[in-house]
Amino acid sequence: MTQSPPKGKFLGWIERFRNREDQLVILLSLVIGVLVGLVVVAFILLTGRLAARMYPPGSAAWRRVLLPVTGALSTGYLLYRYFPNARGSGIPQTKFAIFIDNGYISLKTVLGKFFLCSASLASGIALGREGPSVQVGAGIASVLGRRLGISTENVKALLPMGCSAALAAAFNTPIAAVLFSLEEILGDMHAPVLGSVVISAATSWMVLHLVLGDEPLFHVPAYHLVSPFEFLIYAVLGVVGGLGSVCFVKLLLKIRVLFKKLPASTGWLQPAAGGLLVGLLGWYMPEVLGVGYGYVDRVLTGDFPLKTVAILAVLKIIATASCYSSGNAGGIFGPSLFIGAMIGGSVGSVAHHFFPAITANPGAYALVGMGTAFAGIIRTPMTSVIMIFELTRDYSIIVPLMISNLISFFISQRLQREPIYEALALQEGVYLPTGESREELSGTRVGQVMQIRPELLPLEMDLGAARRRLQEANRNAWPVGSGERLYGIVAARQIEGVRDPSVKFLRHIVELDGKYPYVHPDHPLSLALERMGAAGIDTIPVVSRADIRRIYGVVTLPSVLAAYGVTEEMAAAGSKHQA
Amino acid sequence: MSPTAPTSESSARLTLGVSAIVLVIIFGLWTIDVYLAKTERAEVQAEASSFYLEGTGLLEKGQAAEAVEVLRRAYTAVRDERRYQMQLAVALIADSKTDEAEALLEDVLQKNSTYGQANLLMARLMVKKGDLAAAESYYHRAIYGIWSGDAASHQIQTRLELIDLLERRHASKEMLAETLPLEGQTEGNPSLQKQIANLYIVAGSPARAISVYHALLQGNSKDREAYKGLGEAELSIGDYHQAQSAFLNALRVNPEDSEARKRLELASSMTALDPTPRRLSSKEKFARSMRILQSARDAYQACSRSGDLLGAANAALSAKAQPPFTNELAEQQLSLAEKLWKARRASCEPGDERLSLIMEKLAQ
Repeated sequence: MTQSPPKGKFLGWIERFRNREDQLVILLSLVIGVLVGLVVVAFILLTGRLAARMYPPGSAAWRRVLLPVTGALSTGYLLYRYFPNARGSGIPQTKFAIFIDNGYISLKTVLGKFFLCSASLASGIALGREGPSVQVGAGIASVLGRRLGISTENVKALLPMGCSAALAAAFNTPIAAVLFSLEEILGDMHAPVLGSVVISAATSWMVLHLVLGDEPLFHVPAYHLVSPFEFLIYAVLGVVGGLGSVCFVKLLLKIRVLFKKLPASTGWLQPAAGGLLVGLLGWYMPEVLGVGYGYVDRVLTGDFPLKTVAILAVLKIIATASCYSSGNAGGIFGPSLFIGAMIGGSVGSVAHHFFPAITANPGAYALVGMGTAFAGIIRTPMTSVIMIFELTRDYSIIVPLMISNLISFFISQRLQREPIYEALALQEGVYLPTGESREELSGTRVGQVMQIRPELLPLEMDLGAARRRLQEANRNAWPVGSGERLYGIVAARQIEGVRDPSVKFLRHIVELDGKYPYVHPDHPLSLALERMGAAGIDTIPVVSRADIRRIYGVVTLPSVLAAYGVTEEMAAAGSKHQA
Repeated sequence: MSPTAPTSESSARLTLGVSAIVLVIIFGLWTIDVYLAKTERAEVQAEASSFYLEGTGLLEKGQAAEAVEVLRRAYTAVRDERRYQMQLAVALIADSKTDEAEALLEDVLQKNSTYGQANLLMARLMVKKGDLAAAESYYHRAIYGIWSGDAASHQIQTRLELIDLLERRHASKEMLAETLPLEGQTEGNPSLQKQIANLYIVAGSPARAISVYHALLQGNSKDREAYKGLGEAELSIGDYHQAQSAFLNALRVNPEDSEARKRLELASSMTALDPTPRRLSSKEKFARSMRILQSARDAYQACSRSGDLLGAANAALSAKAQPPFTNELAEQQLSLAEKLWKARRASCEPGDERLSLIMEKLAQ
C-alpha cells in the first residue's frame, strides 16, 4: 500500500526533508551549535555574576567557609534527590550516553546540570564548568534529536556535535573543541560525523563572539623563546607536570573510593565534605575557590611570587580532588588548567631566578604548564597542544608545548594506567571502550552474530547433568547463571577434572569472582575468537558494558566461523591438513 | 486515503512544532544572553572605573604597591580600556616592578607601536633600568607618536624630558639638537621660551639664548625673568657689561629681587676681574691676571698641596713685580692659571663661580 503525501505543500516538503536524515543531521548541527552556544554563554555569565555576588571584593573571610558548605549542601541534596545523573564532570556521563544508553540524556539531567552546576561553582566549589557544559551540550543534542524522532544511531551521532559546540563556546577554542570530541569523547579521529562536529563548533563559537565580543578566555602575553636552553626547562616542566597530574588523578580516585564506601544514604551529605574542605582552604587562600581563571590570567603575566604559585598548585589539587570525589557538580577540565598554570609558574619562577638572562618570564612557563597538566590529566595530547596554540595564536609556542606535553603524557601513562575518565567509569562498574579497543571496533561486531538470551546453567545443577548438557549442545563451555544474571563459565575440562566425590554441583567449581572471559556487543568478532582461544573454550558470553554480570547472549565458535564464511567441517579439515 | 497518511502528516506537524519551539527557545536565550552580557558589562565597567579612581588616588599619595593591586583589578576587569593599562604601567614602574611593566607596555606597543604615551612610559622604564640608549629611542618614538588630546603639548613635554636625560648624560650636542626644534614649537609661550633659552645656555649655546631673550623682551620689556635669563646668558658668553646691564634692568622692574642683586654684584665683580677687554692698560691687565692666578692657586691648593704647577704659581706670585707690565707677562700668568684650573678640575668640585666663569671665557 503506497503512502499518500501529507496535506499542504509545506508539510509535504517538511516531511520529505525529515525523511532525509543525513541532511537533517547537517541542519541540526547548525541548530545545535546555536542552541548550545547560547546556553553555554548563559552558563558562563550566570556562574561569573553569581560568583561576583557571592564574593564581592573585600568580603569577610567567614563567607569563604560558609558559602561553599551551604552551596554543596543544597546542591548535594538536590543532586541526590532529583538529579543523580548531574553529578560530577559530565564527560564520563556523556560517554556513557554514547556507548551504553543509545545517546539518551534526559532533559531533567540537562536542566539539573545547568542550574546546580551554576550554583555549585558560584558558591566556590573548586571545579570547572567545561565538563558540565559538554554534558549540557550533548544533552541538548540528545533531547532535540529524540523530540524530532530521528533514529537512535543518528541521535548518538548528534551528541559529539553538542560536545564540540559546548567546548568551543566554553573555552573559546573551536579547533580544540572538535579535536576533544573526536579524541576523547568518540575516541576516533576519523569519525564520519567530523563535518557536522566542525559546523556545530564553528556556529557555537560565532554565537559566543556575537554575544560576548572578542574577549579571549585568557589574556596571554606575547610568547618568546629566549634561548634554546629553555627547551631543557620545558622538558623539566613536562616531568613535573606529569608527576603533578598523576598525583592529582590518583588522589581523586582514592578519595572517591573512600566516599563510595560510605552508606548510600549519606549521598546527599557527602558533597558538603568537599565544600567544607575547600572553604577551609579558601579561608587561608581565596584563590583556591571556584573556577579561578582570573588568577590563571594573573599567573600568565608572571605576577604571582613563587611561594604563592607553588602553594596554589598543591591546594588546588587537594581542593578539586575532594570536591569532585565527594560528588559535587562540576568538572576537572578547568581545574587541570589552573593546576598546570601554577605548576608551570613555579617551574618558570625557579628557572628565571637562577637563569634570568636565558629564560623567559614565568608567565610563558605557566602557559605551557596549562597544556602539560591537561595532557597528563585528561590524556588528550593533541587537544592540549592545539588548545594552547589557539589561546596564544602564536606558532612559536608549538615546539616547547609538544616537548612538555608529550613528556607529561608519557609519565602519566606509565604511572597511571587508565586515563581519568575511564578510571572514573571503572569505579562505576562501567567498561568504556579504551583507545586501543576502539580501533578494533571495525568490521563484523559480536552483537551481529550472538545468540540472544541463551538458557544458562543454574549454579545448583549437578555436574553429571551439566556434562550431558554440554555434550548435547556439542560445546566445551557454557555460561552459568540465572535469567540475565551471569555468575561465571563452566568448561567441560573443569567437570572432567573433578576427582573429589563431595564436589557435586556447578557452584563448587564455578569461579564467582567475575574473572571470566567475556566480550561486549560492540566488540569485533576477531576479539571474541582471540579471547575464546586464550581461555580454551568455544563459547563466550556477551555482556553489558555497564554491568558485566548482565548477559545479553553468547557467541559460539561455529557462529563466528560462519560469519567469516567457514564451516566447522572446513575448519576441522584445515586442522587435519596442518597436522 | 491510506491508513499511514495521518502518521506521515502528524510527523511533519511534529517536526514543525519542535522547530517552532526551538526557534522560540533560541530567541528567548538570545534575549537573556544579551541582557546578561549587557548587565555584566555595565557592572564590570562601573567596578573597574571605581578601582581606577581609587588606584590613581593611591598613586598620587605615593602608595605605589597598593595602587598596583587596585589598578590591576581595574585593568583585569576591562582589558580594552587603555587608560587603565597605562595607569597600571605607571604604578608598576613606581613600584619598581619593571619586568611586569615592560611586558604590559610591550603588549600595548605590539598592538600599536606609535602610541605616544606607551612609548613615553617605556622610555621612563628604560631610564629606570639604566638602558639609556633604548630610553632615547623610545623618547623619540613618543615624540613622533600619536597622542590623544593636546598632542603638541605632550610632544613638547616629552622632548623636554628627553633633554633632561641628555643633560644628565652631559650630551650637549644631542641636547642642542633636541632644543632647536622646540624653539619654533613654543612660540607665543613665554614660559616655555624662557625654559628653552635656559636649555640653550646649558647646551653651550648662550648666543641662541640671548636671541630668544631679546625676542621675549621685545614682546614684554618688563619681563624680569627674561632680563635675569639674559644676564645669565651674557655671563656665559663672557659679556659681563651686558650681563650687568641686564641684571640692572631686572632690578629696575623689581628692586626687591635679591637674586638679581646678587647676580648684578657677580657681574660687576666679573667686569672688574675680566683681563680680556682691549681698553685695559697693560698694568691693569697684569694686575687682574695676578689676581686670577692667585685665585686659581688657592683653588688648586684647596684639594692638592703638591705638584710642579703649584710651585710655579707660588714662585710667580711671590716674585716682586717689576715694570714694564707687558701683555705677554699677563698672558703667562693667565696661562699658568688655566693650567692650574684644568689640573684642579680633575679632582675637585667647582668652587668659586667667578673664577669658573673667567676660566670658561679664557678657554673660548
